[in-house]
Amino acid sequence: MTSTTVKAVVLMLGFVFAGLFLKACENNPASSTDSEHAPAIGFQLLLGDDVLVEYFQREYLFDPEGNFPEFVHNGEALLLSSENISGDMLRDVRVRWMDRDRVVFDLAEFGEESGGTAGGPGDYELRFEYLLPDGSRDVQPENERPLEFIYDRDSSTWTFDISLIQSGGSEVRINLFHLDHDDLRSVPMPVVVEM
Amino acid sequence: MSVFIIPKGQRTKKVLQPKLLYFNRVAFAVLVLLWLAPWGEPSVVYANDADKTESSRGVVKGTVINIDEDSPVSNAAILIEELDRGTVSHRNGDFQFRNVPAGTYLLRVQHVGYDTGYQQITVTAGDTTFVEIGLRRGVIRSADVVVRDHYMRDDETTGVERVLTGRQLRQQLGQTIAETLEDEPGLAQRSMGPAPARPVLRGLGGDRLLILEDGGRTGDLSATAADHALAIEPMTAEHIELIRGPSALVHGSNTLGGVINVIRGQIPMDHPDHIHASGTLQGQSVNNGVAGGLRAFGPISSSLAYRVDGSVRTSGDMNTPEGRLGNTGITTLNASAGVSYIREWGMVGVSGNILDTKYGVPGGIGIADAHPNGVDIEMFRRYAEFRSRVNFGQGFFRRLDTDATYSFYKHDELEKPDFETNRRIVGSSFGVLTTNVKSHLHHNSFGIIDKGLIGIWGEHRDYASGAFSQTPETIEQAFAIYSFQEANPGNWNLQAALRFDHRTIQPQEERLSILIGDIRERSFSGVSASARVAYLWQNRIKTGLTVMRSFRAPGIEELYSEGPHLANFSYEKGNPDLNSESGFGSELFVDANFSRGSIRAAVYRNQMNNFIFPRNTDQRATRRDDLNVYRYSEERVLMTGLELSGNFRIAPSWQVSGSVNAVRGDFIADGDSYPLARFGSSEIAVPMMPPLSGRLNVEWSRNYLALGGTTRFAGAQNRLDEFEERTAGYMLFDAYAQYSITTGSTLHTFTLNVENIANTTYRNHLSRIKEIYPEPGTNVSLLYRFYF
Repeated sequence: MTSTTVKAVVLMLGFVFAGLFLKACENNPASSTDSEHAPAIGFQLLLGDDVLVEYFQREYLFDPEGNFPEFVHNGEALLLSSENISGDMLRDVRVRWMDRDRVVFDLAEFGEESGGTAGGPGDYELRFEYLLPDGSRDVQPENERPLEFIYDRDSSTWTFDISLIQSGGSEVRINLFHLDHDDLRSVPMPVVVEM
Repeated sequence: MSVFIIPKGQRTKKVLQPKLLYFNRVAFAVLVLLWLAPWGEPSVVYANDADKTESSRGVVKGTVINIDEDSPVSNAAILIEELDRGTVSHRNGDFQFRNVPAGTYLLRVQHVGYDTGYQQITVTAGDTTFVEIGLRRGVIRSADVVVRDHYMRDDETTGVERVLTGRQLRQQLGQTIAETLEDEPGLAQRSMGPAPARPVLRGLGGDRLLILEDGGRTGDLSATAADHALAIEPMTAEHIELIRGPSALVHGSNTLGGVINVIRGQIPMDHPDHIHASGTLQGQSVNNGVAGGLRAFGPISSSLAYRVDGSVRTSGDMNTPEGRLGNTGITTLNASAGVSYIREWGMVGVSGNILDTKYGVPGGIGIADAHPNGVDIEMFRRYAEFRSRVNFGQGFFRRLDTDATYSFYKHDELEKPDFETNRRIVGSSFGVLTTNVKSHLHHNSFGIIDKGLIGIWGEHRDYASGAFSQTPETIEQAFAIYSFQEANPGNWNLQAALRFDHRTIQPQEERLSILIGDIRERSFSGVSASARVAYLWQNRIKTGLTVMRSFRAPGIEELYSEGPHLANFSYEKGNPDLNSESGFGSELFVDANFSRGSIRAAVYRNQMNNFIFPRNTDQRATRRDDLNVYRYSEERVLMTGLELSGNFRIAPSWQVSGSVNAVRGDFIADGDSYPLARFGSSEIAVPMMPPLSGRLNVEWSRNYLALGGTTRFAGAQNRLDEFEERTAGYMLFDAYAQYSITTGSTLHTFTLNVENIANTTYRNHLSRIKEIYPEPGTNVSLLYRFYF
């Protein structure tokens, strides 16, 4: 083996190990564990400890555990009527979130880390959009809305009330709002109100 | 119902194996291969033996003169093509190459305002060869962008047709590589606002069109999404190559589209005898953009050489005929330094580069309801390169080139808030650490083979994404071995290349995803090959045929993407079950050169099995009902097209040039055989295909002044995929003036461009935001560049 060949091989070796050295020196600057965003893919609406509605993969399941058959309209909408709600107000509907593996989790820890209080929403809050029930996804005028979601973001709880106003239908998005954008923006949920 | 609170930082469930293990195995295999390689005995040994060096090498000294005026020409670029070595003439026209191996070479000399000159030289061992090269004033533009494959006099694949002072590069110099190349035949640009533009060649973009920097991978993510910018600042490019055919396989297995190689020359390969420098200032009206850069290379000692460059670019929002396109500004800082140790036996060098870019992706109602203010992207890349060359002289092996690069790349996509006072949130974050090693062993002629090489290449990529993106952290490792050979019997030119690739893609967390399927390790292997036969008729007309079989493994994003990609305004769903893509391409070409001009025509046909692309499903995402789901799909695709270009000198100072490009993409149903070509209409077509386009240029030039006008045109694109929007045809008018002057030993060049003079509204079919925003309006730009 000539000295020229030796030089070539030494250079090759040097480069390979220089590359390995540089590679080993640094960690990837991005990480899936550093997200500021809530990993919410879906959610559950609960009355007490029982699931009233479950949303995942763009689909709504109404009363999935069979505890609230009176709240289901033709299997395709949430039915809210004077008969199943006393005082025209459904109180303390609680939200829990589901991740990409359909595992349910609470959002408190994210609220804490982004400046919120334990158990409270912090940088997050719930927002609701009312759309016409004709599938057009146009905003429903306020005077045509049959119901209203009442939510106090300062209450430090993930609960809200639903007030019935008049008979009719609506489609309601339930969004997880984060500072300036939606971390989760749901497909509109069909709701029928009978008074 | 079980309820889990998932602590932050504990979501990665399974780390499969140490990241370096496999790479170490690859590195070991590389070394074993090298040790076992049939080195043979180089006929010449240089190291530590001055006498033998003297007896085996010679010196070339020469002068470049203006034939008409019998005066020296300074700042001419002189290249020994076979050795890939270049230098620049001094004030008195003199130049010199030391340590040139004995043999016969072709010198090429170029200078702005002159016809390119060629001179064959024979270097005698231990002697000095004197040469005088005369240049004549010319009007044919010297080309910075060189399509290498159709030139018989090409060097081997790593050789370049180098132009150090090129009018075309100055005239076309844009904010991005894509904008700079836009007027070249067959090229279009994918865009999403001006900053993240990327070239598309013959309808093939993404990683089907490999873009290299000094022959190495860029380490960025520009091939994976429309909002990702290319990490190359065009201002620092010395010239740009387009490579097609068998020689493209040296750079990658999936090069049906070709290879764009941006040459910056960051590591000096030759030892300059004094300092050379150039500077650039550029301004343009369409976005109040200003850019400037400096570049210098010179000797440090008798064995050391350096090269440094730096550039700054800043621009505001772009003006269009329909108003200002918000959030399209760019700020870029770029700095590089390289140093080489150059001796008789070869060289070794190292360089580093830092690129820091901030740019905007526009939003707006209709394209991004979720982000009406657009998205800001902050991109950072740190790049290190090591390079060596060892010369073996006139034995069987000629030289060994080894190149190792390391890239640290990161970019964050920041949601632009409604109010400036609000905190910006990282919507998506990407990091890629890339290590590449390649080695090319060049040989001299044997049998009917004139030249060629054997190469090996290895790559290790550490990919991660964060914020909204759910794509798992993934290690990608690739290895390839290949060979390229060329023979020139008589008037024939024969080229062939063969390549084997193996790639392993290893997500750090294997799991069954409800959303996309079984996320698991995938491995792909494949063979690619290419051959070209060309014949030169009467030293003027060259005809030939190129065929290529390509292989492409799916990318990480194509396999495992799972979540919103905000700046791309899409919800991307990968497919872990994708297969590797294979293609078969063919091209027939004619290249005719006459005393008053040249014509080049090519027809091509590329068929691809399992062509992978993100398809708009027109369905809204599960997590974000305001984003469309783009699902990576695989289809059988046929692309056919033609390119026609030419230039003609109609009078001593007048030249006309032009080009026409057409390409169409068709889906071929499963079970159907691929037709030779498809004609007529069809229900759906391959998305994002460039429409019929072309340009016509008229130029007057005399001495140091050139004036010209260009018409650019494109037809309507009515061949659409489902959910794709039509674009209308257009015609644009541009004008330019170029002037150069020499003061002392400094060459000054001025280029004035006026683009889209009529402020015509037009839309680029390859723009992701074409439905909302048109392309730039009238733009006046001025470029000043000096060389000494």
